[in-house]
Amino acid sequence: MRSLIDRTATWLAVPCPPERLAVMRILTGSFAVVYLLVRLDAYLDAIESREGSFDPVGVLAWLDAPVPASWATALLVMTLVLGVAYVVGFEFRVTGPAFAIGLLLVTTYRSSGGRLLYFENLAVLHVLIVGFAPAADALSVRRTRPVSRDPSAYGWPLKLAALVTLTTYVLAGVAKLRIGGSAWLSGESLRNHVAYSAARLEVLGGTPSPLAGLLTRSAWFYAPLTVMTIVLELGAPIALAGRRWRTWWVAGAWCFHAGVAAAMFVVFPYPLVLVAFAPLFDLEVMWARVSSLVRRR
Amino acid sequence: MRPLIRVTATVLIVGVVASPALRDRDSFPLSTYPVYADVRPRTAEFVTAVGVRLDGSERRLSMDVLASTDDPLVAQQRLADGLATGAPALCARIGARVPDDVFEVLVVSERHDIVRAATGDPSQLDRTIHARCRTER
Repeated sequence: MRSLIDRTATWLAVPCPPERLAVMRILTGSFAVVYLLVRLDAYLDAIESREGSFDPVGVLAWLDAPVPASWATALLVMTLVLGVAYVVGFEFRVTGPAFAIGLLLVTTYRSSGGRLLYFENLAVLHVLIVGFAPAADALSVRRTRPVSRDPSAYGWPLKLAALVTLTTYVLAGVAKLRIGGSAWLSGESLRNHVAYSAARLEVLGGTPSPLAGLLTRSAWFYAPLTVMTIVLELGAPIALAGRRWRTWWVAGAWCFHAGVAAAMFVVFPYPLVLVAFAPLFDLEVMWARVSSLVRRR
Repeated sequence: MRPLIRVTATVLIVGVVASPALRDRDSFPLSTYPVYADVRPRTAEFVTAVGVRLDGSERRLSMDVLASTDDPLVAQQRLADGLATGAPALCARIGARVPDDVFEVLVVSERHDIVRAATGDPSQLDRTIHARCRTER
């Protein structure tokens, strides 16, 4: 039993340089800050609008009514400021957890408008992991603690973030089998989902993707696509089997999200910009390559 | 960190992330990820509103006019909520935002053949009018 625990702990915490976790901090923080800024209108609208219902979820499930708009706006602004500190690693022992909690509260509040949207879940989970990890021992404006002598301290949060990414994909596959069952695998349902997105945009005054019509006419295409989707989602743990498997799986998952974006105009930005898959890679190597390219210019 | 603590923490955290599937309870940020998981039939009903021009012709209204958002999921939810709490009030709110060429708003439920809608063919199967209101134009 002891040796099983030791072997698992060794697998979980592969020693790695502090730069790898630091790059994950920069990527997750930059994504979250840019995402909040790009969607600022939607966040402010969720704070100020009285158009929809209020159905608090997650850590805010205890709320009886919306909080005053000034409080929610202040939290949003504070989270953005903390996000910048998180990205640059400033006083990370404080700003890391504070940003993670702020982001959790801000995104949960937006998700309390009666509709769960699924675009932000994984990004928030990753920031919660990285925010509470020693992620600013490198590539930070100010080191808040001496560099850990145990390099596995940097490997474990990354492995945990990778496991969380893969778990979310497995859950999505399980949901399709549990809710849709074998009927979902016929392909007709997936074609109807693509058609539904186009029809919804049409009746809501939007412009559907031109690909939606083309793909809806090609019914034969959906049966293999549904099987591939399920295999990709339930088979997500294969990404831990080695570099080649990881690369193929990430390429497949990215193509899936790109296809959804192109055909349905439903964009999942976190996987599309690849940050969702970042903990599966040797980020410090990529960082060094990008830095050297930037320096040469 | 000691190996036992690290293994236990990992099992707990991954277990918490997976727990919505065991409890069949969707939330945020812990979720069952049921995106596109339901079996979608070929017909669907949508709550929306249309604008009527002076000559009697109809036009679609944008999501911004319908529900003050650019997100179709949010717009859909707000229209459904608005209909549930009172179609006349929803109609009046939309009426205050319509473009100049609209003189009347109809809050409606429309049932469509979504495959025909996606391919650009006539798709509306039926329509129920919940409220109609004149705009101040």
